[in-house]
Amino acid sequence: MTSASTPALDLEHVSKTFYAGTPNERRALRDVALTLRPGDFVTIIGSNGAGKSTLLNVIAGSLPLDAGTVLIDGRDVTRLAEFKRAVSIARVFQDPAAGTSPHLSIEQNLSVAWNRGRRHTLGRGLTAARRARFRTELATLEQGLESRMSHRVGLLSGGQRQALSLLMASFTKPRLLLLDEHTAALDPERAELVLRLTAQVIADHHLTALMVTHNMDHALRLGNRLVMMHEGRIIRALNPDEKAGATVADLLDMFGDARAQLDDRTLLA
Amino acid sequence: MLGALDQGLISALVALGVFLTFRILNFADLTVDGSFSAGTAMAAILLFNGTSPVAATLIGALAGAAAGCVTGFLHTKAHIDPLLSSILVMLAMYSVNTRIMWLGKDGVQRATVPLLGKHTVFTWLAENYGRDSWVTVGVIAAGVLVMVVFVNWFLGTNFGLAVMATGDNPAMASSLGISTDFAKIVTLGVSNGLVGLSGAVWAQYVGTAAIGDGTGWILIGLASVILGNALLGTRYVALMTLGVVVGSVLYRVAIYFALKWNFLSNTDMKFITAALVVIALVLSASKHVRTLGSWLSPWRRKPDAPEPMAVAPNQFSPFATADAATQPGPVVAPEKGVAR
Repeated sequence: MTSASTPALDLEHVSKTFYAGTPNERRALRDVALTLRPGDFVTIIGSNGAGKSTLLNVIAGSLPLDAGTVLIDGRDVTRLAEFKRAVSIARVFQDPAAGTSPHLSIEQNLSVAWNRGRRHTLGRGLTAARRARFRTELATLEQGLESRMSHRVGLLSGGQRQALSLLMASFTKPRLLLLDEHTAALDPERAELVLRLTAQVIADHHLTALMVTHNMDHALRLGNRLVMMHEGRIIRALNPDEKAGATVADLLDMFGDARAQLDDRTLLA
Repeated sequence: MLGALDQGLISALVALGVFLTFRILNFADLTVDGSFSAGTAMAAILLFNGTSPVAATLIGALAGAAAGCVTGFLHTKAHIDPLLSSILVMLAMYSVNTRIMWLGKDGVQRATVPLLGKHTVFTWLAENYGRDSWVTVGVIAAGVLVMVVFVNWFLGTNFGLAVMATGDNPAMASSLGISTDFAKIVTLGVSNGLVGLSGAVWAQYVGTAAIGDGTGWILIGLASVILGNALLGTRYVALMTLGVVVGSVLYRVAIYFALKWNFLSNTDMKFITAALVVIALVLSASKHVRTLGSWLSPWRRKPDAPEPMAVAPNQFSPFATADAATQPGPVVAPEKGVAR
């Protein structure tokens, strides 16, 4: 069924409301539509509470949808449990502690990640062949982790853990990679490093990816498309040509305009 | 003294089960008291009815495993808190075990099944080497060692790693395609299967099965795990599992001497065990004791000095302060690998 024209990800009329029917009701996503062709790398920016992280959570299946459909490679996964979707969707979280298992060693973490999409059999989790493979993969991170494979991940720095999370999410070549502000908890130097590795693995494996970020500069430097969100809506989408020429100042202007329009509309409605 | 070693080794199976749930799965499973009794009741009634000792022992273990799986289902499918779902099963098992003990061929509703004169796994040993002998200790130790190897093998498989990841970071496990529900149910089954096995052997060792036999085993198991892990450390799974056995044996030997020298009466045991667990939990939560413990541990290893982790989310949020976004990005400086 999968042809070149089938979108890698297709979101239709996606809506999500938290605490519906209570005074705390918050509409996190309002009728969002987004389509990614294979190989697209879309960066998402938006203010706090714009629904960026919620969007990634409903795509990954860690939050159920109120309405709408999620299609991966043309297949409807809206009702599929998170762990089943994980066969084709990989994630890197904002918190470096979230994407790795602190009490397992580096090689054990990699082995668990390597089993993505495979059956969890009663075969050995760590074989000589796997270790050799992991050593090569770790070397690409340039963190010296390949010589510390039996060390517990809890002993690594935030930057190293995030680099490892990125490797664990990408080295099985998932159909879709979701990056949720994955550099936000790092100091600028480490953030830069993880960003560089991100661009590298996505290019190397030709991954389709969605990256949420608070940093406009990052959003412009990486990816071929850009989406701007505000209060649960996509208020602006830049195609590859528009994105290529855009600057941070342009983005701020666009955001100001779009928000003003939106506020006027809300006022008139 | 030999009896204390026997008992310590048999209860090491309970400790291994508790180790799997409490330490590996991070699941406070109190099913243990119920699944231990399921093991004693099932094995005893089968032996009473003339089943072969090996079959009776295995079916006893399966009865325990079934109880564990029910706890797993209550927790994962009915979304009941771990502690509560296991207490519910423990309570329900009291009735189930009573019914099991009524299954005698003669139809008598017993609260105690005597195994006097029945053929058990210990009959041959007792006939050839007497009731207490080093041979018996050795045979039980060998059996326990097989189970230690089994647990280590289990945790080293692809599925075992998935179980460890589920206990350590469930959100990550799900995001990597692991069915955490399935991992929990199976591990609870394996854990309580070990507990049931212990119960089945225990009934044959003491020569009787009574309905109240299971009470307090969760604490004995927990005390053994805490004691063993404190002694042998938590660096490697193999050492943790061996430590659990050592902890269990030491616990029994300590109690043996306390009883022998009339420090304690048999009825004080539950209080002492509870007090020991409280002390161990308080101590293990204390930073100073942990530091001391890591100094004393023969497997202590200096952790690599963790680099300070700047947690500054939204530091560059352009929407918060427009100026921050226009600042040039920091110069790319590749992190140097930590030379070791």
